[in-house]
Amino acid sequence: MGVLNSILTALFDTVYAVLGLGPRWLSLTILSGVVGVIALIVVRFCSNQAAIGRVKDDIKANMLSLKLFKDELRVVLKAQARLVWAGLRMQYYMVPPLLVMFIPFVLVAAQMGLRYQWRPVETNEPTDLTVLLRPDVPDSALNWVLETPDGVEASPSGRGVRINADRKAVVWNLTGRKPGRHVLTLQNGTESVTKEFVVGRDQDRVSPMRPGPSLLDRILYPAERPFGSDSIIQSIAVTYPPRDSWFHGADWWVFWFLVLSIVIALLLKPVFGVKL
Amino acid sequence: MNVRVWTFRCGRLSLRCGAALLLGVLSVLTGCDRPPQAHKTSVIVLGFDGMEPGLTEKMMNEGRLPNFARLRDMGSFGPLQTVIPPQSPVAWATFATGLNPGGHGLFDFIHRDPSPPQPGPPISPYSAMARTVEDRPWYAKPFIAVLGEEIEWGDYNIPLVSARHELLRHGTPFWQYLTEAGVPAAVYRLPANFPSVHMQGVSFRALTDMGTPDLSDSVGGNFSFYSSDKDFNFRQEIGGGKAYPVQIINGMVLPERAALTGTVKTVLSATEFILPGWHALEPRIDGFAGCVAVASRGSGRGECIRAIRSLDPVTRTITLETPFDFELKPEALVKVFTPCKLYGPANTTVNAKEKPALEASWTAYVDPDQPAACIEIGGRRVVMREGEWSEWQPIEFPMAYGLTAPALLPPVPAMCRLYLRCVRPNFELYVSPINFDPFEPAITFCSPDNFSAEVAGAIGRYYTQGMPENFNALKSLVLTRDEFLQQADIVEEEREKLLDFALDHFQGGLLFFYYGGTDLVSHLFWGVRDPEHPGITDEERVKYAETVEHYYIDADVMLGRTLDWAAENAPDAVIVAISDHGFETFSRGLNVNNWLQEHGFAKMGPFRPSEPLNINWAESRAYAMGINGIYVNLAGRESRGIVKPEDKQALLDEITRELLDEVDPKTGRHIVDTVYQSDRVYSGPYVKTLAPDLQVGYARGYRASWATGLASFGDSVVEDNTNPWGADHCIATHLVPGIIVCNRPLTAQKPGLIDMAPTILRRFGITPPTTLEGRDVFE
Amino acid sequence: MAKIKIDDALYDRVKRVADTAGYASPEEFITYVIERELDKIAPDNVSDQEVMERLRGLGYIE
Repeated sequence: MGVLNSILTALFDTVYAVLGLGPRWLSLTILSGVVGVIALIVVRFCSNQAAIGRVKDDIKANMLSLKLFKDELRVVLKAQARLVWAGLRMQYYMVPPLLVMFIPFVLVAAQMGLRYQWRPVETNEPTDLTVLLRPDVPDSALNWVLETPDGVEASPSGRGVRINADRKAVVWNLTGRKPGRHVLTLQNGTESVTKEFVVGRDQDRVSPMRPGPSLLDRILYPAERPFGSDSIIQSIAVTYPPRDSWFHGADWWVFWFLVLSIVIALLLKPVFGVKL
Repeated sequence: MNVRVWTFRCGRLSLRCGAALLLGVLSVLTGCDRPPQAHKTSVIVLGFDGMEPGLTEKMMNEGRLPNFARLRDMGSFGPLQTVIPPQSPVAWATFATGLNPGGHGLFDFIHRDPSPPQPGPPISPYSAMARTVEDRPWYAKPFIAVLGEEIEWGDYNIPLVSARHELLRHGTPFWQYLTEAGVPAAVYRLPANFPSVHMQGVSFRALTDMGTPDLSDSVGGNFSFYSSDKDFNFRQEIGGGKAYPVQIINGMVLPERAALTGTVKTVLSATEFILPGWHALEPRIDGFAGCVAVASRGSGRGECIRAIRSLDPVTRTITLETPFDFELKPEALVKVFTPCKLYGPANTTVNAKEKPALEASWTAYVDPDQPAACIEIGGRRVVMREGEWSEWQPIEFPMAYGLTAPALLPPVPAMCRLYLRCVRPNFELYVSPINFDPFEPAITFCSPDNFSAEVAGAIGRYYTQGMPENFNALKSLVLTRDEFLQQADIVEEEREKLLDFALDHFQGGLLFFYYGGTDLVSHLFWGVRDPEHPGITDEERVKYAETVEHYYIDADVMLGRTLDWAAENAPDAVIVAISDHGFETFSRGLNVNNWLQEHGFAKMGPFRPSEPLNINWAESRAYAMGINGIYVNLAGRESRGIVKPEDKQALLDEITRELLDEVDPKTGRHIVDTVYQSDRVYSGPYVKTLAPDLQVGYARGYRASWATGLASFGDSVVEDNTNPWGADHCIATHLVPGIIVCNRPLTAQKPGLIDMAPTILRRFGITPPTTLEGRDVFE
Repeated sequence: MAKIKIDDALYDRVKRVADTAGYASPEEFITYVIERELDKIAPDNVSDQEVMERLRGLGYIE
């Protein structure tokens, strides 16, 4: 999982090095188009196209009979039943390509989320850093000290504010004074871990969380190496502001990504000779 | 805020979908949202509220106000005649309209309805600057006709007849003449201008100030204060804020009272147990995310806090995020807490007799040994050290819970600033009044609608309420004088950024910029000039001797920026700096209703003396209400009026005579300098309906007492003012003139606020309408 | 309209005070006083009490 995420992150960083030169709506549209085309290819090779063709013919035939014999109740009912059956068969034939696409789609969406869901903090815009620890760790495990690079200020400096109540965590306020992809270092005794922090470069991808053992967190936040199950750290998170746009901003990008990839796939299906 | 104002905004969003295109086309055609345009003539007016001519001149001569002196040397300096009474809303309304109060309809901060709907008190006070009115926009009317005034939606009523604020300042503001003549105008934070009225024709930009409420619809703003100190000395009765008791359990700040305390009935697993007694919680079930359970060990010693993952109201099962750090047994004591809350106004959309307040949760964790805490609010964590002020924290107040209702009643966007006073031995957190978020303005405090967001995009979030220096927190002893000044400095920083924005975006035409710091700081610190002031200690007199001067110097810095900008970008600009009134100490207060009673004009009502509207209406011929006003209890006007109209003038003359004769038994000085009879000093359509029959012009050092404003009584006729608000200007008009400094020679002998509108219009070659009462001060 | 019973002596006192306070009838006075007290305990919509509170927040009065 970790290796796959590293490869994907590197790949997407390269892709966005080019796409990031243009406006964000364009990169979202291009990626949606590419995903739509890949989906078409997967459907072309992973589905029983002949069977889908037959189902489509059935659908056409039954639609025709509905139109021609609309006054004959028996024929209408029969055609409707066949249409329902054809629909179910169509869904059945789409299961293999959907299964093939599901995991890659989620991984791609997670990568895109790092670029469309959140934005880097602006210079001098305050945010917070939270180290969440396992609930069973001793109190001494809360004594983390944060070292900030040049261009990042933390408050309090050094040891963070410790939460030792309904959860165990250590929190700092962070303010980026210089734009850049900074590396924060956290130390507790001999243990030392890092977390990236992006300031001021609007086009950059962010990593809101360096995840722990949780599989869901590892899928959703793929940019940084996760902590192992033996680590006392459950996650290290930076709160990044959501991107604000009704097209390529927080939450909306997922909707438009799905809509655009489906629309583009439907438009291009004759080109690829795919039956859907 | 009346939540109906917000539902109106939301409803408008959904209802106007069909009309949006049409409106968009119209707005483009009419140009009501045009970008700033260049204009060959520039007039810049800076309004420094409450700047006093004597101190200004002294500081200029000492070289402490170099930019005021620079402007004076370019043109003129002198006193500026103010209005009757010299109160800011009245004065700035005269500035805006060029009319006396009889023409613009503002006579005091507080007006009264002499004959309100019954049952109720015989008269009803209200804020004079703006009010909330019912609204039936044209696009809602068909829906109202079919569906009624509101739609019942589960636990909520979605209002179709909604509400909006209405500006009660009448008359035409001078910028309307300007924009009609094609002159762009920008009016930043003018008092008594809320809600902002959009102009059409050319670029018009406005942000409002005094009169703009916070989320609770309070013009002064309502702060919140959370303290675990049970002995905290807090003057809650003064209004403008509330204190809430909290406690700290295992480093977590929780409300003083648990929402539910009970003993565990059955333990299902390490993280699941059944707790009876749910009837106490069910009405608040929607707010449960983030609750904690606190369990005591069997012996009752030691407590452990765990977050609740889910609550099942059917089986009464609580599921925790993680197990307690000891084995939970039946009969163990468990307390369930809701998080601490910030409260907004009553949510009138809830379909219940008792409307709950809008709420937003927050939680704080106190560090085990550092003087710091982590506060979770608005989905963010803020780390604060003791004595630290936070940035603006955006927060949302949910209007509705459930699956579908939130889509129809979306949360109200707002924001607040926090001040962590201390964490140990007691946790004390001040939360500023909840301000509307300039990025999503829920009420009309700017023109055009997106202007506040444009400003916030450039300078960050800023106080959107009027009178942002939180004087009520100081008056109620929640903030110390030093803490108040820290907060005022935050406001000051925001103002400086806003001025820079205003100058950067000014391309000619009119620019008006208002600076309120000189007024509110003077109210609280000018009193140190009086060596006898009963509300100021010797220590304070020394420590804050230069505080007002410090703010005058800040005003000078802002003027300097403007002069520098103009020298570079608009060398021919007319630049005028004015103030609306001066200042005087306020060390003695006249309980006017006590005085009226003592002189046989009024009688106290049946309630405790300090109760508002405590007048015996059957036997009172006159009553005092507002800051300067005395009203005759006039038959045919007041609902319980007893004075015949033909007896009114004799009564007014009698009161005037006796007021002027009144001598303070403590000082031997006259309390009242001048008494103004409205019929004689005002003209215009609002004199008969709104004006107090008499406006009392107090002598130096005096003012109406605190109790007079709401027609209450005090303990004695004249009393010491021991309030931190130790200076004022609501006295005789000629004692507190404002200032005018400009880069053109003044020709008028006694320039006044009323002259400013015609003066500005003339600079753009516009002949002032004959209805304007003043004259051009430069010609 | 609901009716409630009160002691005769209390009613006389109410009547006397209502007259003094200038109310048209004891009923009107009772309604006003009950509403005012209820506003303090359980405010409903924008009560008179709330209006007073907001006006106090202006700073110039208490």
